[in-house]
This record gives sequence, structure tokens and C-alpha cells, in this order.
Amino acid sequence: MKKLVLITASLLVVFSACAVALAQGYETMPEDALIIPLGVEGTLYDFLEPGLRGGTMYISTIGDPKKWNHTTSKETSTTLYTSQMMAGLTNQNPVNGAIEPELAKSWDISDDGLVITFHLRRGIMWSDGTLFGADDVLFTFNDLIYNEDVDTSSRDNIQLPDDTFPVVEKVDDHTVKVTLSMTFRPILTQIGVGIMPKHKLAQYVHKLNPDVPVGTFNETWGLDTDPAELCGLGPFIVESYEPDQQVVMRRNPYHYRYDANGTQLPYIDKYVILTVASQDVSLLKFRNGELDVFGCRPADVPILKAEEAAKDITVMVARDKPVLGTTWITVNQDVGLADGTRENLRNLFRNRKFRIALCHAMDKETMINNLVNGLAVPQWSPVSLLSPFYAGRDYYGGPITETNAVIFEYDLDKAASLLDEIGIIDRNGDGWRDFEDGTTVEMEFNTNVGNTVREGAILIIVDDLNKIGLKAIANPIDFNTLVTKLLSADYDFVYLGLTGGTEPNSGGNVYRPCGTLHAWHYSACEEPYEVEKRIDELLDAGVATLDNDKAFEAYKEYQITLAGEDLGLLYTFNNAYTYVYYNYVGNAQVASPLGSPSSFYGLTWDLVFKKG
Amino acid sequence: MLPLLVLVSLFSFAIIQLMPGDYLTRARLDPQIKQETLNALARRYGLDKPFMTRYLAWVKGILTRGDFGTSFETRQPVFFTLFLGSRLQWTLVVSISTMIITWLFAIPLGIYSATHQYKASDHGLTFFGFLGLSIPNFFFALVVLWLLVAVFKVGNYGLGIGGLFDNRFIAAPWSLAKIGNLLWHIWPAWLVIGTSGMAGLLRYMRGSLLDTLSLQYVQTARAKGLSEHIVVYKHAVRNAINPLISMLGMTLPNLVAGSLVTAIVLNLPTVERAFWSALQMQDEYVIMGGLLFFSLFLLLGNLLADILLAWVDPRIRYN
Amino acid sequence: MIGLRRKKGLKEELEYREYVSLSQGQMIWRAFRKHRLGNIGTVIVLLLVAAAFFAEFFAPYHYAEQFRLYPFSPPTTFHFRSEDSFTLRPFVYKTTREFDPETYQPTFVEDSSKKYHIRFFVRGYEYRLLGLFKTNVHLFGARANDGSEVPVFLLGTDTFGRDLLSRTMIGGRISLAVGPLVILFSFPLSIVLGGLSGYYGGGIDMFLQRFGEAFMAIPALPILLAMGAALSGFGLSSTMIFLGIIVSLSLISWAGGARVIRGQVLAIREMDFVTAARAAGANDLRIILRHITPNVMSYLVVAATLTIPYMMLTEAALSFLGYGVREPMTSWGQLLNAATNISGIEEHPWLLIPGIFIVIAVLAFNFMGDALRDAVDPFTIV
Repeated sequence: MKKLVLITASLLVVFSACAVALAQGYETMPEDALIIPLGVEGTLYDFLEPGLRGGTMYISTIGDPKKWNHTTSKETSTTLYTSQMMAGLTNQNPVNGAIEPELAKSWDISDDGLVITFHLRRGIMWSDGTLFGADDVLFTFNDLIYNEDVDTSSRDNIQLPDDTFPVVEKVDDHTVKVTLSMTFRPILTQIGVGIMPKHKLAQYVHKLNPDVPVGTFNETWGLDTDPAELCGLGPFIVESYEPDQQVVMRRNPYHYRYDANGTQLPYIDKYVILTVASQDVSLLKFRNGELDVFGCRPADVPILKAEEAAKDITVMVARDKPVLGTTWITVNQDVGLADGTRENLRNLFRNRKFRIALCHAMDKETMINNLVNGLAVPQWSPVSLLSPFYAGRDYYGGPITETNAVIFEYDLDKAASLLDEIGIIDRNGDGWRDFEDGTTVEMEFNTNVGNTVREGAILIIVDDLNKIGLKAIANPIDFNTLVTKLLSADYDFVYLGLTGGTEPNSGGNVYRPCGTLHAWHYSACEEPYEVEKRIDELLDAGVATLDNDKAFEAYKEYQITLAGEDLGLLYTFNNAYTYVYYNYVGNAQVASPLGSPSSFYGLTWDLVFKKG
Repeated sequence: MLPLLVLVSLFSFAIIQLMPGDYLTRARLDPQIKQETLNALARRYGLDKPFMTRYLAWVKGILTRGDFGTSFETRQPVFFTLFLGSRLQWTLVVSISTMIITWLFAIPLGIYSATHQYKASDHGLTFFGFLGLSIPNFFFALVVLWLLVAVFKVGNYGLGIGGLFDNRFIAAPWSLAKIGNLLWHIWPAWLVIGTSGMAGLLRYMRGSLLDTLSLQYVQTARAKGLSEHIVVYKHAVRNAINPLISMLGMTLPNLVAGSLVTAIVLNLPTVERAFWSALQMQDEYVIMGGLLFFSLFLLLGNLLADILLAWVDPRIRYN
Repeated sequence: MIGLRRKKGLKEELEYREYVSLSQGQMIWRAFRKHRLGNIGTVIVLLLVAAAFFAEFFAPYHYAEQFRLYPFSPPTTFHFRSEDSFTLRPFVYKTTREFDPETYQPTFVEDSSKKYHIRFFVRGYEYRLLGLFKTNVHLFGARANDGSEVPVFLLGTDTFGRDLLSRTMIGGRISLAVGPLVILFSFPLSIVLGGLSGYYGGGIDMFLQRFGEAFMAIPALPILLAMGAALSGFGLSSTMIFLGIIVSLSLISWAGGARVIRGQVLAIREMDFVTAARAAGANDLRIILRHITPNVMSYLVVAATLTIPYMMLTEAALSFLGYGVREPMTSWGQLLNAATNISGIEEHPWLLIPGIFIVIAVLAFNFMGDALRDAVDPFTIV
């Protein structure tokens, strides 16, 4: 009897819970839901906790969205929103950076690595309740990304080194076969582009609907579109937009992610992104309690730290998690080549010892302490510290020991003696070092004006070079001028940064001798140095194997060669990842620069919740 | 007016061409984008064609189709991009209300200053008037916001800073509470933009009234035995204001174009900010649209001033 | 333009005329002296100009010299009292930057073991006084009895450890130069075009008027930004960029001036004394030089005084938007802009001192201009 009561009671609880869930617009779990094991011992997510449903979160960003179309948007001010609405076949885990199944439940790879079969999750629905299937995947690849009429940067991303594209075919409604012409390990990362809804968008593609003009898709889902028209598979969908004020995103009622308790994600009902004009306004708004999370700058950390207890906030400073991407100084080894002038300087710049001297003259510690409040780490490699392929690791994904990192300590005497060694000495007693013919060595450092950290960094370097008798001047110039100079090899030194990911191959366009951003030595495409040929080979070796450990070995040598032998780019430092949140924000500690595409400030927003 | 706009547009277009790089420069630095893609985009946007060809095509578009071009960024018409949402309305609300507030303060204070010439209060008003003018707007605006947050801690009273509304009011329907909230958010703009125009107006009013007060008809009025109050307010002020009317037409357009800096710091959703972001992105046709908009506003302002002047001062006649 | 004048002005002027005869200059001077705020303003302007001329002498260090160990150092504390005695001769202690890894708050700790006395007319970096005399004497510095020196930062330092006093001094020179340089470029244009237009009228007037209107129809700040961006495209040095800014400012400001001058010339041309001169057989050139120029002069003086502060503020706004004076060159606007962020206001309030200089300078010029306008223009309403 007791048992019966208990069962009845528990059944009642379950039913009423279901009823409540349905009343609130929550769906029942699809058969292939993706379970995020929050707080489950022994999983990647054991440091998080299952959350509570409901509530609104406020954050801010600079700049307004330009459109709602994920495929055709490229700048982060737009993808911040669109990537929340969309999901891909695969995804990068925000905790360890591994590639994980997302819309695909699993995949099989043929023995030669040329055929990958993706098994899609069953029962997943778009945010308007339409069933998702293989047709959507085919539509996204064959009709959008591979369609020359569509402006999309995804096309370049997914192109294989031999300039072919992976062939995407339908096996059945829930199985997609991808055939490659060559083994290409990063394909699993790059296949994870946002899948677009065919039932909504096919009508705007000229190829499928000849009634609309060519290129219509590029204007589709613009800012003039009624947000009610938008739909996606991601955790949030745009609900409304007020220019220069805010974008409101609502939770996708059909989202396929659930926590271990069977609660559908995301936890929060809405999240609101205030579009502001400056970071200072954001900082003030956060301190005023108008924002829940804020991606603060290094300069803001002391102020926020001082208020930590009083305001019940947490300032996260992750020195072990530097942001992705690289910052560097490039030495133009082709200076004056185009018009046959400045041969002296060109030969000097091509001298490896000179570039080593420069490395020794870079006071990274002062730069970090003075410019970013000590909130950065020196960078020595083209690959991010967070990448499992970072050469400072012991093995693929292993701990960082820096045993294999190429490090040049700050030592002006060493730099000076290196210069003496290559015959760059002061010949006329004016205090400046001269070439052999007696003319003074003069050079200019450029960076983009308005970026105070970069301006500061070149001022420090120039000051140090002046100390050892090299006549250098700092000249910050307009960003576009800088890029134009860089790409036309019309400069001496440029200090800039590049975005990057965890996959070393994504830097191919920069480091390969024929890359369009191989800006320090464009002539390498015709006559590469031995070391540049080696780099090309190593990059090929890194992608041509499906074995991560083998790839790691290739990439390790690649990084050591690049930083120690080639010295094309002289790396500086990478900011530590900093952000701050009110303590009522649950699971905020998951934030990481690795964050999945559906992240903002590196926070995975579908895991965040508001504590009681 | 039309030839003027053509001249302005040609001049502006030339300047935009002189700007380094183009809309695609930023994309060129993205390691993921290939050269062929960039070339295709340049062709699509017409960035590979020479200056004059593009200018003429743009003018032709305006004349034949009323098409001022398409934004590279949003892929939508220029004025749609510039005026999206309520930007135009908010620009007018902020500018016009600031102007009214400035006049409401400057005119009485100018009268007071003139009637208390060289007294301590006159010097005081002059001093504070010029002080407002002397503080750079970007700095003043930031200090105001900082004071509200760090010193007065307005967050504790549930009040927000920057923008035009608190978070909860942005999407809410109009109500008394929302209007109240708007007032709370708009006064820093009045303070920052208003003070920079106040000194000039106050001094003009003061000077104009002093001049009028020494005219013969005012002396006559005094001689008739009218009270000083009536002499000043009924006779002198009405005529002293006339020359200021011509300034009215000039101030509004200047406010619209000049409050860019304040709009950025105070985070106001105005056309200036859209123009500023287009300028940074080199979204050419939007920049052109913005410049034309500001010029047109300036010309209309002048026209309005002339009409107003003729209306208040029957002695002036235009042919 | 409306002439501003005192209530009692008319009566007083008549009285003067009865007893003494005053030249125009003397009359202006008397009127000017009456404007108290204007007098204070003028004194401040003169002081600032003097400081700008002798900037290197007042600046203890080179404006670009980086003291790496002292980033964001607060103003150095002057001590008068040591553990044993009180002295009128101020001294400072050496400070060391310490960094708290918990709060990320850098602090400067004084080492009170050695006193460094403030000394005047010390030797420092070499410069040319007024651009002529080579010297290395600076107003002050700090040195201990054993001859060792420590840097003194009267106004603190910026993020690179550069002395803000030195930067403020040199920056002032740039800020004060913007206005006069713009005047140098734009006034000749205004005078020639406005004068021609007003004096000859007719077709020339029509054409020049329309031409000027086109320039006036261009919204100033937006076009300045576009021009600033265009300028930076030529890869010029910071000095050339600065000159470019000046030229752009002049290009958009001449038309307004030309219009006023045209109006003035138009009015003066019809006055009796000009008609008389013409009847006496004077040619155009003589009439313009002898009769019209002096009358327009008073407007020009006032306009010049008011242009200077306006240009100072415009330069500051341009700096804020990233198109002003470039590093390592500096100006008050650029210095203030570097301080204009929340951490600037809260953590390093001394960075705001150059901003106070802007406010003071703009105020002083405005008062001076206001007083001048009162003085030179007692009767005219234009």
C-alpha cells in the first residue's frame, strides 16, 4: 500500500512536472538529445552544476549587428548573434578544445580517411518546430557554401589544400556521407559550419528558385527581416532589435541540449545584448548593476578587484588561458625589392642574426607590466598556448612545460654584440650604428594608431633599439594604410595581430611561402629559403595524418623551426583572458577563449543560469 | 541648393576615395579568406572601378531610381541603414530638446546679465557660461557618467546610465514611467551639449539687449515714465531677440553634426553613431548618405532661419 | 556680429572727448582695461604663451623619455620634514614600484634612506632655447648629496613612465599653435575672397558667394573625420599629419570669415569717408589699404582670439576620435584623451591635469576675446 502511494505520488510529480514544462513551452526530450553532464563526477563538466530555469541575463558589446544571415556574415559584431542561432555538425569543446559531436550524433571514418559518414541526431527540431534532417545539411553545403553566388567566407575555410571541396551526399534522412579527395585531419573542425534551415531559405536561392534574381540570398535575413521569420537550431533566437540599444534573444524552445537531470537547455529564458559605443560605458554599466557579465580589459581589473567583496562579483583572471591569436612584429625581408632600393637594409633584415638581436631587444616583461597591468603572457610560438598542438606541451594535449619552446631572453648586451658581430657598428661616432658604407641604419616601426597597447609596445621597442645605437622611430599609422603597406611589402617593421584558432593549419595562409599573408617575405613564393620549404612540408604533414600524435610531432618541429630558425614573425605577448561577473550568475566559470561558436565572452550561454 | 549639393557630394566622394584602403581592407587581413574571394567581392561591390565611373554611376542611380546606393555591410539601402530603428527620431529629439533647453536658460540669463552689467552676478554668469564651453565634450560626458556610477551610485536606486532608457524600458510600450526614464537619461546630453552652446547665446543676448537699451525708442519709453520692467521686457527684449533668430537655424544643424562625440560617450542611438561606424568600416555609400544628410540639414536650417527672421521682423523682405 | 558694450559707454566716451584727445589705440586700451575677466584671461594667455616658448626649460626631461620603472607614477611627494628636523629646502625620496599580485594594484613605495634635494637650474638633456641657443639648463631637478639623481615627476607619469609635466609643457606648444596656424592659412583666404566680393560686388560677388556657400554647407566635424582618415593614408610623419590637420581646419573655416568680411566691406564702402576719398581721386588700392583695412582689422583681431580656443577644442575632439596629433608628438587634447577612460579618472587622476590646462586656456582666450570685442567694437552692429 505504502509502495503504491509512493508510486502514485511520484507519478503525479512527474506528470505535473511535464504539464508545467509543456505550459512553459518546453519540449519533451527528443530521442537523440545531447546531454551535457553538468556536475557529474568524472566528466569534463564536473566543476559546473545543474542550473535553475528562467530569468534574463544582460551583457553588452560594441557595435551593432549588420544582418541576421549566418552564412554571409563574417565580422564578429554579427556572428555574435547569428552563431547563437545556428549549430554545426561538430563543435569544439569549451573546456578542453576537443572536437565533439553536435548535430551529428557520431561519425565513422573509412580506413583511408577519405570517407566520413555522419549520423545525425534524430527527432531534432528547428526553432519553428520543423524537423531537422539530412536535407538541411545538403542545402547548407551544396546550395549555399559551394554556391558561387553566395558571399561566404565558409567556402574558403572548407576548401582542401588541393583546391577541391569535400563532396556532401545524402545516404538517408539521418545520414550524410562526406567524401574527400585527400586525407585532411582538420576537416572535422571545418565541417562544423552553421547549418541553415532549407524550409525557410531555399526560396531565396536563385539556383533552387529561378524566380528570384542571382544574389538574392546575400540580402536575405537582413536587418529588415521580421525577427519572427528567423529560425535556427542553436540555443537562442533573435526576438527583437533596437539599433544602438539592444538585441534581445529568446531561448529556442526546441533546443536539443539537455542537462543530466533531463532539463532542457538553455536555462535562461532570454538574454539581452546591449550595443554600446565604448568599453567605458560597458564598465560603468556593469558597475552600476546593469550588466551581469562583462568582458573587462586588463586596465579595468584593479578597479573591479577593489570592488569584488562589496559588489559580490568575481573577477576572473586566467593567466593560464591567454586569448587565441598572435601578436607580432614582422621584419620586411623584401624591403625595397620592388623598386630595387635599400639593398643594405634588405640584406640586414634577411640576416638571421639581426632578427635574433631584435628578439633579444624585446622587453616583453616591461610591455606586459606597463601596458596591460601584468595581465598577459609572453608568446613564443605561432600556435596558441591553449592548442593541444602547442610545442611547449609534452605531447598532444599534454601538460605545458615549455621544454620545447624557443625563448629569447631580454638582453640588450647580447643584442648589441650580435649587431657588432654582423658588422653593424657606429663608424662615424654620431652614436648611431652604420652600414659598411658608412650610412646610418634607419628604420621605422608601424602599428595601427589608436591601439594604445600596440603603440606602447613599439615605443618601448624603439626606445630599447635606440639605446643600443639603432636609429629606429615609431610611427603609428591608420589601420587601413598599415594593412595596405603590409600587403604590398612597403614597410620596415609592422606590429600587428592576427586572429587564430587551435588548429595550426589555420595559419597556413600566413606561414606558407606562397600564403597571401606571408608579408615578411613575399618573394619566398618564387625562391623559398630551405627553412621555408621545410615549414611548408611540415604543415602538409600536420594535416595529412588522422593521428593526432603524429600531427603533434610535425607541428612541434614546425613551431620550433618557425620561431627559432625562420624568425619571420617575432612574437610579443598575448593578453590573459579576463572577465567579471556577479556571483548570482551560475556556471560562469566555464568561460574560456576556446568557447564554442555559440559563446559570447567565451561563456557558453546555454549553461549559464541565475542562482536563486 | 541643388548645385550646392552636387558640389558637396563630389567633394565628399573625392575625400572618401582618398581615404586609405577600402571596405575590404579588414577582410584582407583574415588568414581564412582567399585572394580569389576578395577579388570576387571587390567586383561585386564595384570597388575595382575608377573613381569617376563610380561617382557617375552613383549619381545616375539617384537621378533615375532615387537609389542612394547600398550599404556594403548590411546589404540594405543607405538611408535604411542610417535611419534604422528610430535613429532619426532620436537625433531630432535629442537635438531639438537640447536647443530648447539651451534657449530657455540662455535668454533669461542673458537678460539678467545685461541688466546687471559688470556686477558680480554678470561676471559669474559669464564665467560659468564660458566654463561649460571650455570643457571638451568627450571628457565632460565621461565625468558625468562616472560621477553618477562611482560617486552617487545611482544603480542602488535602480537607475541606469548611458543610452536613452534603462534596460527594462527599451522594448516596453510608452508609459509615464518610460517618459520619466527618458528624462533621467537625456539630461546628461542636455548638460554636455547644452553647456557648449550656452555661453555664445548668453553673450549674444546680453550684447544685443545692451545695444537695444541704448536706442532712442527705449530712451523715449523711459522718458514716458514707464517702469524699467516694462521698458526692458515689453520694449527692448522683443527687438533684441530678433538678431538671435538667425542663429536658431544655424544651431540645430550644428548640434546634429557636432554632437557625434557626445553621442559616442553617452551611448545615444542617433544617426551620428551610425555615420561614425560607417566611417570606421569605410562603408562608402553610407558615409556619402550621411554627409548629404548633414549638408541638407545645414541648408534647410539656413533657409528656416531666413524665413523665421522675415516673419518676426517685418522690416526684412526677401525678393 | 553684434557689438557688445557697456551701459555707460556712450556717456563716458563723450566725456573723454571733451577733455583729452585719445587715439583709437588708447581708447581701445581704456575700454579693454575695464573688462576684469578679460584682463585676468589675458594675463593667463601671456603666461601660457611664455611657458610654451620656454617649454624645454620648464620641462625637466625630454617629453618622449621613458622611465620604465615608473609607469603611472603619481606626482612625487615633496618632503620638508625628516625624522629629525624641518627644512625649508624640499627633498624627495626614491620610489620603487611594487605590484600586488592579488589586487593587480601597482603601488610606489618610498625609500627614505636617502634624501634627494630639489635643486634649481640643473643640467639635463640638451636643447635649443627658443630654437636658437644650445643649452642643457632646466628649471629644477633632484640630486642627493653624493651626486646621485632620481627623477622628479611634479605631475606624475603616464603608462610609459614619461614625465607629464614635460609632456604638458611641450604639448601646450602644439595646442597653442593650432589656432594661430589655422588663422595663418584661413584668414588670407577670407580677407582676399571676402574683400573682393564685398568691394567689387556684381558677378564676382555672386560667384564667390556661391563658392563660399558650398564650403559652408559641408558639415564640419564629419568631413574633418573623413579628411583625417584620408590624410593618414599618405604615410606621413606626425609633423606632416599635424600640418594636414591645420590645412583641413583652415579649408572649412575660411568661408564663414569671408562672409563677415564681405558684409563689413560692403557697409564701409558706402560710408561717407570712403565716398569722400573716392571723390578726392584715391584709387581702389589706396581706398582698400588706407580706409577699409583698418576698419576690418578690429573684426579680424577679435575673430582671431576666438578662433584659437575653438581650434583647441576641435583638435581635442579630433584626438578623441583618433584623428588628432599622433604619438610620440603630443598636445593637450591628446594628453587628455589618453586619460579619458574610467581607469584614468579613478586610478591615475593626475593624468587629467593636462585637461585642466585645456579648460584654463580656452577660458582665458575666450575672456580675452570677449574683452577685445567690447573694446574695439563699441558702436558697430554688423
